[in-house]
Amino acid sequence: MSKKQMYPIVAMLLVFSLAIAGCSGNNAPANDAGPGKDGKASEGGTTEAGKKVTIRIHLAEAEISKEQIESFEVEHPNIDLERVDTDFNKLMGQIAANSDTTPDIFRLMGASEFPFYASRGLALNLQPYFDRSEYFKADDLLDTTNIFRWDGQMSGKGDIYGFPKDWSPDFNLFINKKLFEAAGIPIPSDKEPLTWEQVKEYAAKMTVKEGDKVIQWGLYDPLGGGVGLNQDVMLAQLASLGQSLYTADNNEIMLDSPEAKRIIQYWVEAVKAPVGPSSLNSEAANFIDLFSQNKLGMMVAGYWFSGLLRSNELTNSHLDDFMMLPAPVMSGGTRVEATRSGTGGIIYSKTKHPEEAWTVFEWFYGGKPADERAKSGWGLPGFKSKVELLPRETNFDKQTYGVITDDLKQLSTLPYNPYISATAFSTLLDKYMTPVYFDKDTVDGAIEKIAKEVKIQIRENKDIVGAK
Amino acid sequence: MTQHLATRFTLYGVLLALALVFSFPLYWMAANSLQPLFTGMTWFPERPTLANYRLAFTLQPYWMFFRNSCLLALISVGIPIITSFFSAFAFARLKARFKGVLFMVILATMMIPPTVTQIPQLVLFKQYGLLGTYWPWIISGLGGSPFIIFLYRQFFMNVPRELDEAARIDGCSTFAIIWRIYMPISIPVVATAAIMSFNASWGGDYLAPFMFLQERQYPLSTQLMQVGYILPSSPNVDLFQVKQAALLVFVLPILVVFLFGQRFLISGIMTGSIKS
Amino acid sequence: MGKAERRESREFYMLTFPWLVVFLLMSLYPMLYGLYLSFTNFAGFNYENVRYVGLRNYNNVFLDSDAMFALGRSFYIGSLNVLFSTVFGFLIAVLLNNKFKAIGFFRSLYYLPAILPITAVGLMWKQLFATNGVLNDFLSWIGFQPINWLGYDHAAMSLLILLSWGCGGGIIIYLAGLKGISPELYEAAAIDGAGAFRRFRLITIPLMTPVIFFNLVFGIIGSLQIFAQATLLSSNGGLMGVPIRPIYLYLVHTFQQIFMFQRYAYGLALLWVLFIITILLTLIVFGTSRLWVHYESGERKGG
Repeated sequence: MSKKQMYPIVAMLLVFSLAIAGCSGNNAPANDAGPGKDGKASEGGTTEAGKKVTIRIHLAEAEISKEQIESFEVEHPNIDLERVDTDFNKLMGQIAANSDTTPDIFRLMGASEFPFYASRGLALNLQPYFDRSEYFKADDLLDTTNIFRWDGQMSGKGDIYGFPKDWSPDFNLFINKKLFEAAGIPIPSDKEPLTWEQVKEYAAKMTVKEGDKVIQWGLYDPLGGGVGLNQDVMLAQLASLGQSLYTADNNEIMLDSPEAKRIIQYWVEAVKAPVGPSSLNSEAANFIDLFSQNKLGMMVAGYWFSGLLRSNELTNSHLDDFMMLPAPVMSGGTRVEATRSGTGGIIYSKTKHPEEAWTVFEWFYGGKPADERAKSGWGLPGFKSKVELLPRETNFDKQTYGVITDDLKQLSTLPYNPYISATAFSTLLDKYMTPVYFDKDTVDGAIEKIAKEVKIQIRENKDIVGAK
Repeated sequence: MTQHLATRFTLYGVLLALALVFSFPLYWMAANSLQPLFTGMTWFPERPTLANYRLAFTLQPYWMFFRNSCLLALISVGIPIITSFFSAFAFARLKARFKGVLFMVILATMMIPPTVTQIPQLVLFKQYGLLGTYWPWIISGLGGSPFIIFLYRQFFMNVPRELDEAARIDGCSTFAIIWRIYMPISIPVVATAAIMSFNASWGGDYLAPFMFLQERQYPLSTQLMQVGYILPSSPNVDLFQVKQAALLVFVLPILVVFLFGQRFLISGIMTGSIKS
Repeated sequence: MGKAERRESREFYMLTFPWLVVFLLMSLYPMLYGLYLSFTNFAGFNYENVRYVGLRNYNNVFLDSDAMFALGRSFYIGSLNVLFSTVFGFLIAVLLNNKFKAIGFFRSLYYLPAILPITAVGLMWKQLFATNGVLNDFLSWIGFQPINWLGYDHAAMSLLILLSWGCGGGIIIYLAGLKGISPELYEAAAIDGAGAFRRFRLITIPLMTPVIFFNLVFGIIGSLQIFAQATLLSSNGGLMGVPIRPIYLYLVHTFQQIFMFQRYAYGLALLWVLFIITILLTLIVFGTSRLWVHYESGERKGG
């Protein structure tokens, strides 16, 4: 195509882009006082005093009940509260369309996803709101809530932008004592952490084969999909060794440090041994099934898993067979407890009703629903004062509560890189480590390829958000 | 026509064996839907319970989503199977400039992956005030579905030309030809299009509603594929068995539509017309 | 241009007018906008300040060795899939066109794989293919070595099994076509002494070519867009999992770029490249259709 022919096409495209940008670019509050010709969806679109305002909170179906919404609306007659579903792509579309259905409060993973949202300017700075809040008292917040702090470069410090719904230190182990006994392994203490090397050794002993078929596994990391290298565990293991995964300016990944290589080697051996399911040794049953049917010795999971064991009919009759342990350490390293998820909320930086959104946020993340969540024993609250609401009745309750109290003394925030999303990183690991497990690539080859793609990701993301 | 008994037995055996292979997932879903929660996947339910069905209907407003599915299916099947007729006839029978180009355009619209257009469509629908309504489906339907237009065209091209030439000599207009000749002989292909678009709408159309509609307007497909069933208080945990129960009820209408609709496939009205 | 031709032309545009309007409004406009975005640094959220980057994204498509690898896998698996699903679909439709007891019921069963959402039965397939799964149990029962169905050596075969199992979707169109063939044709041929196979070859196949052609075109379009079946067989089994290399298909790579890496603009460029490839392939198939597709009404063949 000649240059001359290109012109009309480019011109047309530009007109198209202007036409669309013209209607979506303006996010100033003045804009939504305009005529409500957009139909039903904008019923809450005005900010005049006394008018009813619709606040949309993104939560999973079961995370907020009808009763909770109703009682909130009774107490706050000026707010219409609506739970909405979305995912990253719908959210991006809604933001692009400046849609009235864009949630005012987003749900995300505090540890791994928040830095990515914050660096893109999607989160409202909540520090002024926290400072005047009755619910969120600065000295009552657990350190873990720092995962929602952002200083413009990194998460972990700075102003607060969000709050966890509930959370758990996610690197604890849950073990099945029966399988330990059957393999002749002494039951570990729940005061002193095991080393990851011990974990692998025990897991190998508990992995039982019948012919070529594995009928019982030693180790499973549900958030990692079995055993294998993943970013969360690697960050925790590196932290245990006092190392970090990225350079200080977050520009490059340091997978070829001796510590990182040791960790990668660890997981390659774990996959090949095998000590747990992976793409090399696929297992169709999920971790809950395996664990509750006594086919799994150890599981990497947070306190929330105790809630599942309590409510599952296959396990709640013999809870004393199970035990929660501290997070393992790398031999020669220190104990590090941290969360890898920390599901919580942030307020969209361009919400049309920040005040009302805050009212909802404060209530859901700090008020009565927070108390109810703590009592249910499915996760930890973000408040020191609410920790004592956790169940402490049965032996199992007491044992898990004891480990949790110890955990809280060792907490830290894992240094996720804000310029590469957690999903992107796990995709890269999955893509380049699998060939290593299948002996189609070497550890060094994979490290090189991952590093190359991570670099592209970081460069493009920094370019887009305008960071150096 | 006679067939040897042995041939017939072999064929019957093949028929049965393949039926097992193809229907196995339905059995698998049924088996798992009867299995108590958190007891793992099974090939045979050892302690069957109906509790999952109760949960499937009570954890979510199942019938509300069901009703939305019906409405959406009605729109996505009812409108295009009729409107596509006219374009298809034009493409099969009439000569016009740019016809070839336009036909390639129809084909091309089917090749474009929906992801390409989704975000721009969202912006567009917001501009037109169509978000949160079923209008995008109605408007698309009024233009006819490219798939159905293509399907009808293939069928019309196989109708002997003498039929419409005779009608033209009798003084019929093009519209009358479509109405009096093509409509009646097209029942099998219309039934095909209806069954396929019902299947596509009921079971396959879940991303567009997720993007363009609000929660209360979701069809079942969106609710089951995008949202699913999770344990209250711990969204990490999928209620696998409840989902199987919900899915089983969800696919029943497609089976019923197929069982009922295929009678029209066999009606064989075409057989009289096609002769060489 | 004669009077009759002008009338036909006018009628053509009258009849296709609604489609044309809807196409311009609902498809072309978003498509062109998507095309525009593929020339920018669009990353999902930076809608208000996208920057034009010229052909950079398209250059990257051809520099991206993974994209090219995935395209190769898509061609390989796609062409085998088109072959299998066309042949199996056709043969099964012929089988179902026989007069058996309760044939309607059987037809419904055969149509099941096309009905059940793949995301719903994906888990079942993983369970079947697992190293300690039922297929391996069966293999060892009949005295074979168990194999790693989802490993490097067999993943492509496993994916093709899964895809062929879903060939029922085309059956319904074949059936509709088969119903359109007059039984008198067969009877006449039988009287002339033609055997079953000869009747099949001389009557069924030629008369079915328009339908085969239709399914072939859609088979090609669909095969290049295979995505969910491959990711469901990946290690984490989710829609966004990474399948191992032999089944790392083009659309998988594309969706990874968009949904996992938020490289929307680059993903759109990848999709446009696929779109153009699909159009070219379809044009080729249309070109060959003159040679083998048989239209009863004797109009010019193909498109």
